[in-house]
Amino acid sequence: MARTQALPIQIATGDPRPIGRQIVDAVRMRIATGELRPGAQLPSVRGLAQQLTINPNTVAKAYAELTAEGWLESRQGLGLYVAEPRQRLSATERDRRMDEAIQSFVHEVVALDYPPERAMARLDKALTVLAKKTA
Amino acid sequence: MNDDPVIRTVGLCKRYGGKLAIDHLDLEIARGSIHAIVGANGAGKSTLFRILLGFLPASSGEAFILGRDCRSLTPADRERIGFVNEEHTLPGWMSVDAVTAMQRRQYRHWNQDAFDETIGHYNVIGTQKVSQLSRGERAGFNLALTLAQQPELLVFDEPTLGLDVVAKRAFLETLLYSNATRNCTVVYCSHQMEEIERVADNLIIMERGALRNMSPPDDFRSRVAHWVADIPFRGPDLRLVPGLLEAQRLDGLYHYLVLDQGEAFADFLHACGARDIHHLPVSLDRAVNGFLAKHHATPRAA
Amino acid sequence: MRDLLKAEWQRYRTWVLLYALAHLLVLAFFMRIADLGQQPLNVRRLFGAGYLVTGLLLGLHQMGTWRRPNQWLNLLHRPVAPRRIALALFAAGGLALLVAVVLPLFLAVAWQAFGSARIVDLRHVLLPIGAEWVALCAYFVGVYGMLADRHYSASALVLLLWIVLARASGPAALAVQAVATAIAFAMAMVAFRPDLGAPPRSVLATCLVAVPLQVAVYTLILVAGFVVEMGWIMLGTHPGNMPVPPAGGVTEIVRLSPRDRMLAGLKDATSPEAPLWREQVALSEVRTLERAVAPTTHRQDMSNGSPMAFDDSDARIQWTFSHDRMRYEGTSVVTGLHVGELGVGANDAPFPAVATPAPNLGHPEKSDTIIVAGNTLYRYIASTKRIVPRLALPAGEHLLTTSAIGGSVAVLGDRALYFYDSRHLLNGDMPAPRQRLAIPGHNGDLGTIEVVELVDGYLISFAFTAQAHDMRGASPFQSVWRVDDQGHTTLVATRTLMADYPPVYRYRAWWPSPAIHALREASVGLFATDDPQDDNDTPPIPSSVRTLAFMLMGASFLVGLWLASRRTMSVRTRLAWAFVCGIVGVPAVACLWLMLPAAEPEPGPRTEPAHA
Repeated sequence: MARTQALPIQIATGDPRPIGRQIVDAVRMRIATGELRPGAQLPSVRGLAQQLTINPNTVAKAYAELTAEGWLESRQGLGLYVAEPRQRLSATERDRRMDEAIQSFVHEVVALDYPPERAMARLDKALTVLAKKTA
Repeated sequence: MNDDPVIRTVGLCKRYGGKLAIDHLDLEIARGSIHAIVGANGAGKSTLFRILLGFLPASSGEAFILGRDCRSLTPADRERIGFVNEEHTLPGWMSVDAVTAMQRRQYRHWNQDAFDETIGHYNVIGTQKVSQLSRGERAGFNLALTLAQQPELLVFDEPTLGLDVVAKRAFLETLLYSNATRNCTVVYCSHQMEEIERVADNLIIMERGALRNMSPPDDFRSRVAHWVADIPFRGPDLRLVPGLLEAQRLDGLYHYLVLDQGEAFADFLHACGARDIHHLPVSLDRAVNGFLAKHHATPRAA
Repeated sequence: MRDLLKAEWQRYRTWVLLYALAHLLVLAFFMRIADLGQQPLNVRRLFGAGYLVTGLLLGLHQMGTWRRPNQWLNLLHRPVAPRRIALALFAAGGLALLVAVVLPLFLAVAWQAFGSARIVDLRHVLLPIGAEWVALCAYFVGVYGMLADRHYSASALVLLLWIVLARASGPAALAVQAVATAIAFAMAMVAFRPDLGAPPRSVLATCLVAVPLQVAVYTLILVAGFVVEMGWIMLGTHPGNMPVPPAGGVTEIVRLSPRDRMLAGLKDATSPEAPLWREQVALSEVRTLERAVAPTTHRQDMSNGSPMAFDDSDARIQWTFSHDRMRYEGTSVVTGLHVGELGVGANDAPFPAVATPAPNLGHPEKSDTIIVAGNTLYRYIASTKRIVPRLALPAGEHLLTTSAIGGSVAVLGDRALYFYDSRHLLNGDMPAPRQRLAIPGHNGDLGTIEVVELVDGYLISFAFTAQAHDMRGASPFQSVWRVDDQGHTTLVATRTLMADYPPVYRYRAWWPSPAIHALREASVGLFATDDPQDDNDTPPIPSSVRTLAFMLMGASFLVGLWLASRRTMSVRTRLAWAFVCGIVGVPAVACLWLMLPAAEPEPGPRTEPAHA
């Protein structure tokens, strides 16, 4: 049984994203990058709320969303744990998000004036690292 | 515990001279959770609190707090309502211990644990005179006194005004995580959007003595959108822009902050001849400020 | 409640103790240079004013700090009834005044009683209580001044005015002060509420706010009248200040020399002897008898209307009258020790009334002193250290003043003028008067009496002018009488004088509000014993003034009805207010206007800001 793992995330007030959204994004990112491995226990609602000085209801809502999306799973009376990876999105939603991500990547890269081959090579390298971590 | 609203006003008006400080206010604040009241200066928040606590007669309409007519609050009712104002008014010539002893004898449900827990966050010594405490310590002491009364309803009128970052954080932590506030409805009036974003379950916006919004903060934020459009010719007449809160022309681009418009606003912009349209989410701070600034806006002809 | 009392006491403790110390030092200083027990009214007034200001400032400061919105909320938003909080704060204020004002005074009295040979009567022990009432009443007036609606919060000052003007003296004055303090306390309790300045809700509370307010408005009307009078003086047509007063009027008579006054009285005399008298008046000495200005001193009066002590300069003894013993107590001027007691006659019997030394009637022994008590004139004989009665007016009369005229002594009582043979007077055999002339009017109206000695009697002129400028006094007139050696009295001439002042001026205290005037008379005279010197032959109110008053009342009723109709209240309340306005007049109208804000125009439906 894994011990509660620290969740070193930051939230910012005044951000266009609501605090709950920021928590969801941060947890998803950490799971995706392998910082949070399946089976790791998350901080309690109250604990995380206190860590971030926010209303516990906000954390509860964020956790509920993550659970509903399948990123976390609740174990009766024990708390929340990172779930085993599985496909959590519909095919169309995946496609849409992929398009979005590529769009914003391309926008950024165009400005840097790299030749496409170099950009592709760098991207390939980054994705390989990600693949290793999640493996 | 019942489901009656802790605060209810019906057609409440308060007139000062010719000006309506409270304008036909119909407000219902449900029991439980943290309600933030936001409004510009002069929106009538402090007037409302003073009417609710029976310190100011209303011009017309009715006001109830914990189900009781505000004009006839009994000592037992007052025991159930905690009130903390921005000045943290306490008798400055008395020692911390003496003030505590006095409150302890006056409040029947005094909870010494809650007091000790709260005061523990602050560097307050019992023999100190209240006037010798720093502003933050006084705020903490006041909060400790109020929480130890075990009120059902806690009303804060800008409690963190003038507090430094550390004191503010300690104040918020006590408010959010103390056992004493678990069964308590909190009404929190503040100008600090950052605090409200962290704290509030419900956002109440008052403007010129009237209720303008009552919803969770994120719901309110999603009602406001920021659109940027490149319109080659003249922009639309501002009076025709639906739900307009704020309009700006920056570097030839038209920026619109609009309320309750959704994606359909893009169609409006297209119809006005816009070429490049962007839709940006806004922060709570920006949403509330835009909302409140609406009546101060000076739309320059676009 | 005890906590609040303690906390509030703590707030003022240092200042109270410092004040008490300073107060004690001031008293100690003055006790070294004078006998504070034997001071006239004005000294008492000065000290009283000091205590009054102390109480007023304490009340203003205490409530001034509490009444700021957040302080007030913090003070009253607690599970203690406002009334109990008020009692705690007031108790702290009262305690502060007790320590700062009364305690030093009691210490001073105690020092007088046990540390000196000075007289300490019951009246001296009562003085600190009077000081406490004055200070406490002023304190509540200050409290009310801070807490009540600022449009009329100053109205409680009329209670202090009442204390200053009340005629009651001695223990009765304490009773008046206690009543005033109780009213001020009740007003402060009414004003002490969470929603400061809101109109009172109950009928009793409304009365407690409204009656002093109406009296205050009435007082302001009188003050306004005074300002108008100033303007009248500046115009130069005020009868009292005209270079040449109106002919045949009161002012003229008062300004004349005694001789001319007597001649003016004889102007219309038709007696065959009249021309002869005019010649005699022109040649003889005309003596004037004037009533004492100071009111009659009653037993246990707090202050001395006139000095209560006289010196025996040969024996180096100061004799001071004790109200408790009704005798004189002697103190050696040399050693400061008590040297004995002096009553009437050989067995030192107590005086029947408060005795005051009177001017000497021209006799050789300069250490002898004339003393007047009630209806009797006594003489202190220094050689034997005895006080013996010399003459007595009939029982029930008061001896007011004496004057030597030729070989006689004229003695003015409150009912008649008597002439005694001064030789008999010196011999000490209690003579009967040779002549008696009843005062041909009321004592309180009497201005001056002129006496001229004729060959076979006296010619006496009475000028009844004392209250001619006022509604209380009789219509002024002058009356000249002749008394012959056999004691026959004949009226020589009566002359009606012009009042000089128009009725609207003389009745200025009445017509603005007959009801409040009646209240004023009743309250100023509350518990007071009638002073024989204040007996006036008040004439009925002229019909023109009555008409003016009734017209004002009628107009007030209509304005009151109109004002009431513009205020949110029940029909019965509305009628009650209009009725009160009709009875009380202008002050009630002003009271209604100040106390109850006009109903606001019903706020229309909310104006929706133009959210598109």
